[in-house]
Amino acid sequence: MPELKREDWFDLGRKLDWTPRYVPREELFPGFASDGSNLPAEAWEEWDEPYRVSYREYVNTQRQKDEALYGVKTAVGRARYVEGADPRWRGIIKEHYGVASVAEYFAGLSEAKLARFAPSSAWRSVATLGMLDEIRHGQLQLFFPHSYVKLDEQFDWAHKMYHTNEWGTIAARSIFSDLFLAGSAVDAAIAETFVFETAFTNLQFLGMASDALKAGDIEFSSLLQSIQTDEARHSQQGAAVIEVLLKHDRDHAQYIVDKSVWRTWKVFALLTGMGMDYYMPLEHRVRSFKEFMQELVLDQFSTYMLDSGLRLPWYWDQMADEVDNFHHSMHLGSWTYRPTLWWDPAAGVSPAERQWLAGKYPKWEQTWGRKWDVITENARAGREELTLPSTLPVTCNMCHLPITTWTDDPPPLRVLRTGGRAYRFCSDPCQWIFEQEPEKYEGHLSLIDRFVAGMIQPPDLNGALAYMGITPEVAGQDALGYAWARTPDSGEDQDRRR
Amino acid sequence: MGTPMPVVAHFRGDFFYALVLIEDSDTIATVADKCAMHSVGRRVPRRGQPFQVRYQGRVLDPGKTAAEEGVAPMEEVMVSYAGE
Repeated sequence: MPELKREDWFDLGRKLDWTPRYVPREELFPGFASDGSNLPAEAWEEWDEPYRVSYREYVNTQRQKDEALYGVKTAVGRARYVEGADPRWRGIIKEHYGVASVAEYFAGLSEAKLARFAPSSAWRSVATLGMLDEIRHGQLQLFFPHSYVKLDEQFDWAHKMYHTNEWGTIAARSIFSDLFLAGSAVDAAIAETFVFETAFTNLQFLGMASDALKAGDIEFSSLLQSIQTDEARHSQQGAAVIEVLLKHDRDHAQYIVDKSVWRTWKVFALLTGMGMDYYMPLEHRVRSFKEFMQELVLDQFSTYMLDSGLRLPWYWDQMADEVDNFHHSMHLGSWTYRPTLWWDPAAGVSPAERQWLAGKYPKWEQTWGRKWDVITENARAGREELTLPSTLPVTCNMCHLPITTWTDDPPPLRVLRTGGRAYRFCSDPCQWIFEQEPEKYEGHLSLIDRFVAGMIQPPDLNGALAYMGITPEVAGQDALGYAWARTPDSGEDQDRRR
Repeated sequence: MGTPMPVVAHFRGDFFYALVLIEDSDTIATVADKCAMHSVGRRVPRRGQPFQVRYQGRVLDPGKTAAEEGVAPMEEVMVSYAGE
């Protein structure tokens, strides 16, 4: 039997749509799960993506990837890299495996939704492979760090993070539920594949991978890079959705992009920003978080948005200000609230590190350095209690992260009063997102709402730690036991800060 | 003894907004102290100067109580060194 050319059979294998006879199409693909814009079926016939991988090809490629990756694990596992690793690096991978592993299953559920409800049959075929990708990522990132569980309680706790009410977990669940799980297939594809995977995962999965390689963690670097090759393929779904939607419902496409970029930014500011600029030992840093953000998001992704026919999000000027400051505020906050973390955060503010920060962020000393001066004095003088939290921070009712400021004279807090409740927001975009779909968000209680409502008992920090599921052996401590504060400060450093 | 109530406090020069429990019978000077203890000497240098409280755009009288000045639960209280 003569073999058909690939282009002769490929569409037959992926465009598996048919005309339903027993149920109307809108019952098969209800708007809430499929396409809220309710475009006609013909519009989605135009959907196409560039990778065009068949299932057989997919399986062959994935098998090769897994063989290579497990080969690295077997070889490197003997070296027990993590066991002897710098405590700052251990902090990075504990944070990563807590936040990322189970989030991959959220992504898998989202892809499964696309595989069932995407309004184009070609798209459903690709999403099926995307779903398998995400299951692979979840399994890899649970299996690889499992051998570290025996090392300490924090590695163990990272596995159960999403099953707790730790503050960062509340924030992460909110974002992933909103972007990946709660919307239609069309919305999820834009949020997850066009924004999250195309714009941002490169920060962690390429940027952090290059840092990992430099730090000598070959296993972690190989893992991240192997995952990113899957992301590069299945993220193409989003651009294809944007292409169709822009022709028929431009405003909705723009809205989902604007919302998703802002919400996703917040995740990566914590996940990648703090690790790159504070935890990573100075000698292993490749670039600053801001430099990665500038290249991958503010330059490349903004060009990609414009080339796709979208506008830049309306808050783009505010984004640049956030990139300069927000992750510094989260680092200062999370280091202070370190008993609420499942890793030991590095302060990352020794004189040499401050010099590096000031070089990358010209206003760092003026904005953040003077706060760290007071902390450093306390740490140096053994006044640890003054470096630890004394009350709860107020959190945003959208991103659920602490509300912070980097100016001495901030404007009044953004408060929205509706339905007998007051909602507080960290930023204009967070408030704007809430106001677009208040019915989606107004029932949710922030950590502070829960505290004020009496759901956290006793109503103090110990009660909050218990509510978060953090036990004494898990609670984070300074990664280096304050050694950074005892490092002599040269006269040059003092002059520079003046 | 007054009625406890939480307020959302920010001390000028610090970076976050603290949930602080005050009582409506506290003087504004006491409210300032209760808020400042979460920032001053922690991230804001001690200066040995008095504090002031700004609420809804006006500086409050340190001798009056929170109730007299109309401070409401979960509203924003801005604290700083006097004159800032």
